[in-house]
Amino acid sequence: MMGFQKDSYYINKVLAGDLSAYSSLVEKHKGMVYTVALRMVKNPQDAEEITQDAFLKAFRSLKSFKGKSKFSTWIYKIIYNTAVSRLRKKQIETIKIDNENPGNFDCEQTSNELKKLCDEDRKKYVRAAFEKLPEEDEIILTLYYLNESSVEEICEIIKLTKSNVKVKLHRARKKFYLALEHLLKEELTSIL
Amino acid sequence: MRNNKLKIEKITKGLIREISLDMPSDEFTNKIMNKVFLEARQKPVSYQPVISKRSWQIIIVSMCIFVCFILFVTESNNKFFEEFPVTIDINPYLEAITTFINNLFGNIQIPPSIFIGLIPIVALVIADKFLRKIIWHNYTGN
Repeated sequence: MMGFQKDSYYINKVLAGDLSAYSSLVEKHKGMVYTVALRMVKNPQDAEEITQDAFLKAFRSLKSFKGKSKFSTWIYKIIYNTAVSRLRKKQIETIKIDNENPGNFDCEQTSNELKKLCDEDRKKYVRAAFEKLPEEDEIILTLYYLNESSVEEICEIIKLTKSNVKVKLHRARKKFYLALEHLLKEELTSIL
Repeated sequence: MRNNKLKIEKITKGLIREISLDMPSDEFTNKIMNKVFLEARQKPVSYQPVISKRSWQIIIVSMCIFVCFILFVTESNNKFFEEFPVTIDINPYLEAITTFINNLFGNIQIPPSIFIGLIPIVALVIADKFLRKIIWHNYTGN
């Protein structure tokens, strides 16, 4: 992986007129920004388009970026808002898993069952379970576990209170395991 | 309870990290940079005046204070100018301008001190415009 400097280094260069420094910022964050977009809109073409929009919006407003939060948090906030407004425009209907009571799960058992599978299959199941979650749950899990964003950063990105994010994180995790269990059971039934 | 929570956290983190980040197309960064450069080229560059608005305000206020001081505070304008350490004799020019303006406005008496105040301001305005043109020319190469 290409070594990157701190975000502030590139931001200062861009603000000083070296526009090409912005490509390093794009390279550094495009993976996570695109992943968030894809989790929201579920379509690679739309995701790439809104990721581009988000990076251009960030470029245009770079002067107003005060550095109070991380650049990554700022750009995730932009991509989240861009994706939300795109979804509103397109009025994409989302199938939601029961939000109120996701039920109980056995994390260890599910994990052990997954370990029996080969790497490729395991990835396939985890991804499939992820895709069964509502967008917001996917984003929260992705940011928290994959990007290691703090609860405070997630609050800033999706504009929710700390307690709300904690509750949503807990529920999203539950739903994720339930989806995994369901997928594994389906697989077992199909084999039998 | 806490250990169980930590265990769940660890297992979940391990599982979710199994799926790597999704990546946009190879040309993604180039596409954005093309748009960034295009926008930067299309965006009209607003040039900054050599003398800022704030400086102009300070200059005008100082000049007004100076003119008021000359007009109202000093006992006699003539006495003040007699003692004023000016090495260049500008009186003939000022008199000519005063006569010209007096001819225009009849009996209205405009003391030379007004011109002492106005001339530098006009000179600064001209210098500002002239310098801005030179800087703009050098910047754009036009």
